[in-house]
This record gives sequence, C-alpha cells and structure tokens, in this order.
Amino acid sequence: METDILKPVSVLSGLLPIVLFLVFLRRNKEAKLWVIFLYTILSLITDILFDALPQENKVSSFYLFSFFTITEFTIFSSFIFLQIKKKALRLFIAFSSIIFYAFAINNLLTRPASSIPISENSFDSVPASVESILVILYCILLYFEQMRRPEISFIYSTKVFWVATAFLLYLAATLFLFISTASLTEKEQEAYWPINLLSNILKNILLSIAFILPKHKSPSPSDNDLYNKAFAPPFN
Amino acid sequence: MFLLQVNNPGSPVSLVLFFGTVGMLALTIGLIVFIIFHQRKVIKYQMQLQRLEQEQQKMLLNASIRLQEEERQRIAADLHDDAGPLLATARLYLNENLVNLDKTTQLQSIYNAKQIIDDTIQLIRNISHSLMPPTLKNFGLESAVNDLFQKISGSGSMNASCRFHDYRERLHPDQELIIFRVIQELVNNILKHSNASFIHLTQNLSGNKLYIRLHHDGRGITQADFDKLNKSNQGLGLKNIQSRLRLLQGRIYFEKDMSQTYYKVTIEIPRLEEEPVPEAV
Repeated sequence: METDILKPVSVLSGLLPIVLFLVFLRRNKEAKLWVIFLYTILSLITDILFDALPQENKVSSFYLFSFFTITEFTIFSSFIFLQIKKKALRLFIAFSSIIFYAFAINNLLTRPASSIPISENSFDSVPASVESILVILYCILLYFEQMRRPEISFIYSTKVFWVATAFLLYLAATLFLFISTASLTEKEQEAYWPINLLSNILKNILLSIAFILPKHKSPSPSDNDLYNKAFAPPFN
Repeated sequence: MFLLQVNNPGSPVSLVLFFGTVGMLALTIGLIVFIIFHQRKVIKYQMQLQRLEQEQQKMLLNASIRLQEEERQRIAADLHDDAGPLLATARLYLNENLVNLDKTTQLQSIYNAKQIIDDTIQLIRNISHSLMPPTLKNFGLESAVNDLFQKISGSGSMNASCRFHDYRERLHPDQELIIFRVIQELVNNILKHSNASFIHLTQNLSGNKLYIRLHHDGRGITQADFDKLNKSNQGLGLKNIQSRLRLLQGRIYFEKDMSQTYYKVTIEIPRLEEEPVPEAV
C-alpha cells in the first residue's frame, strides 16, 4: 500500500530537480552541475524503464540496474573528483574507482543470465553496496576538504555541499538495504523498498535545493583591509 | 508497517536492516550537523580575529597620521622659530637706511647679513637632510646607517657600530628609506630609554629575505611588551615602526639574548628584486 503511493511520488520527484535546473539555468552553468543534471535525467529514465519492463523480465531489469549502478558511480565520483583539490585524495578516488569498475564489470560479465534470480528482486546488491560505501567515503573527504578551504565562508551556501549531502543521505539510507537485499525474502524486500523510495525523494529535494541556490561568491581577502587601502605601497 | 516488520522475531535480517539504516542516517545527519556547527565556530573565531586586526590597523593608521602631523609641526616650528628670525635679522641689516650709512658700517652690515643668510642656508639644509638624508639617496642604506652610527659614536655618549655582511645590491630607494626610518626610530628609542653603552647593527641576507639586527646592552623590550604597547595607546614610535614595516610586508622581533645580557631587535624584510634601482645622482 505504502509502496503503491511512494513509487509514483518517487518517480515524479525525479522531475523536480530537472525542472528547477532548467528554470534556474543561469545559476547552474558550471560543468559539474551539468553532470548532476545528466544524472537526474538518467535516474528518471531508469525509474520509468524499470516500471515499464514486465515483472517477469528479470534479466533486463538486472542489466538495467547494473548499468545504472556503474553510471551512477561514475557521475558521483567524477563530480567529487572535480571538486577535490588535494592531489592525494584525487589519486585515491581515481585508484578506488578503477578497482570498482573492474569489480562491477567483472560481476556483470561473468554472471550467467541463468543465475539471475527469477523469484527474487533482479537488483544486484554487491556492486551497489560497494558503490555506496565508496561514495559515502568520497563525500566525507569532500566535506573535510571544503571545511579547510578559506574561500568557503559558509559550507551550506555552496551548491557542492547540497549535492554531496544528497548523495550522502541517499546512499547512507540505502546502504543496509542494498547489503541485505540478497538475504531478504520477496515479501521483506517489498516491505523495505520504501526506504529506497523515500531516500530517492529526499535526494531529489536536496538536488533541487542545490539547483535553486545562487552562485557562491568568495569574498575578496583585502576587502576590509583599512590599512592597505590607506597605504598602498608605491613600488608594488 | 516497518515496526511490525522489525518486531517480527522470525526475521533477524530485518532488525539489522532497520537499525543499520537508522544508524547510518543518524551518523550522516550527525556528521553534517557537526560540520556546520564546527564551521560556524571557526568562522566566528576568524571574524573575531579580523575585527581585532581591523582595530589594530585603525590604531596604526591613527599613529601614522599623528606622526605625520607631528613631523609637519616640527618642520613648521623649525622654519618659524629658526629660519624666520634669522631672515628677519638679515633684513634688518639690509634695511633702506643702509645707503645712508658710512661705508665701513655698510660693509659690516652686509657681512653680518651674509653670515646670517649662510646660517639660514645651513639650517634649511639640516631640515632638508632630516627629511631625506642625502647619503641615503646617493650612496644607499649602508652608507647612511654608517653615517648615523658614526655621528652617535662621535658624540661620545655611546659606542655605535654597524656591519653589512651582504649588501652588494641596493634595495629599491623607497624600501631603503623605510628601513632607514625604522632603524632611526629604533636607535632613537635606544638612546632615549635604554641607557645602553653600545649599539651594534648587523645586516644579513638569507634566501629572499633581508635581516637587520640591532644589539644593545641597555634596558629593552621583548616581543610581549611590543605586542602590549602596540595594542595600547602608548608607543607611538613603535606603532610607526610597525606601520612602516607593513608597507614592506616585513616583520620585527624583539627578544632578549640567550645570555640575558643583551636585547636584540630583528627586522625581516622580503626583497623585491624586480624593481630596478635608479642610479645615484
């Protein structure tokens, strides 16, 4: 019953960030925000396709989910990679991403179609769980790097903060669901799937906030410098 | 519905899932709240620091303006009290009645007037030199400091010496003038307040920085005293030093020697190498 109401709401909530991005296009011209916009479109298409596919066609749903997991990870990690300035952290993201791709693609290619459960949900929980853990870690690293940057006066006034919060809350809320999907019965999966739907709605709301926010302007360090205004060195 | 599922004793996975999800959400929200509050705290602290710095800047600005006014008053007083009466006296000697006087008196008057005019020229030269020492302009900081220290030593009240270890290339004239003024102010302070028997100045270069260190054996101040004086309304000269050094992005350190016998003042100035030094006139 809950799923019946939440499912269309969750799918429709995917429209919210897309519309707001287009309405506030002037505020969202940066490449990194276009990446997120692309993700919102992809997410919406996946949700619609998943609903449109016949329930019996588990193989197609499995490939659709697996493809979405890899694409979602690519978009999340590239967004965070673009934000992080520290070389060591960037290297860590690049290295762990390669490992993830190797693992996810290997999982996708080596798994025979016959082994995909027919009676259970076609969702492949292992790559999705690994993706969640990695992106949560990246988000935490991003937060701590942003906190250390002096040009960011209020962390929550930046679009990056809201996008990262959307990722973090969505993946943190669904991590245990993804991990335990394989161990749950179909009835339990149905009972717990609203967690994913609610997280998806929350993620879409947070992404919408990110798209609505005005561009963050860093204050000039010499703005308040009374002395420098009064005594500009003659030989600079 | 969720709680019903959780309370289902036959489903241990449900419990893990429920508490795991709630725990993860709590941790995430906690982390976000912590980041926001921590950042607010840091910003509050930074703003406080900025406010203090602004106050300090305001004080330095006031000190500089006051010193500029004092300097103007001193020059005005010198001109009014010394040059003015001298020229008035010379005028008296050369009054209209001079033509009616006998030749000997006329010659005597002209001679006296000439003497007075010479004194006035010397006086104006002294004022001009105090504004801009010619040695500094023509021969650089090393010669100007040498001159200053020779004059102090020559007075017999104090032994003053200086040594420039690495000053082959002159600094920009504006930089030299500022450094010279700082040294003058420091030496003045030592002469006035320290009761020292010697001052020794050394210059060194290290990397891209120029160091000037003054040693003396009198009563001095430490960095803590300097900071205290800088924040108070006293120590106009020290504020002036601070404001001059700020123009050069330089620093000053007041310390007591390891032996606790001497006080030392170190000035650190970054070199601006791209500026060509105009040739001495």
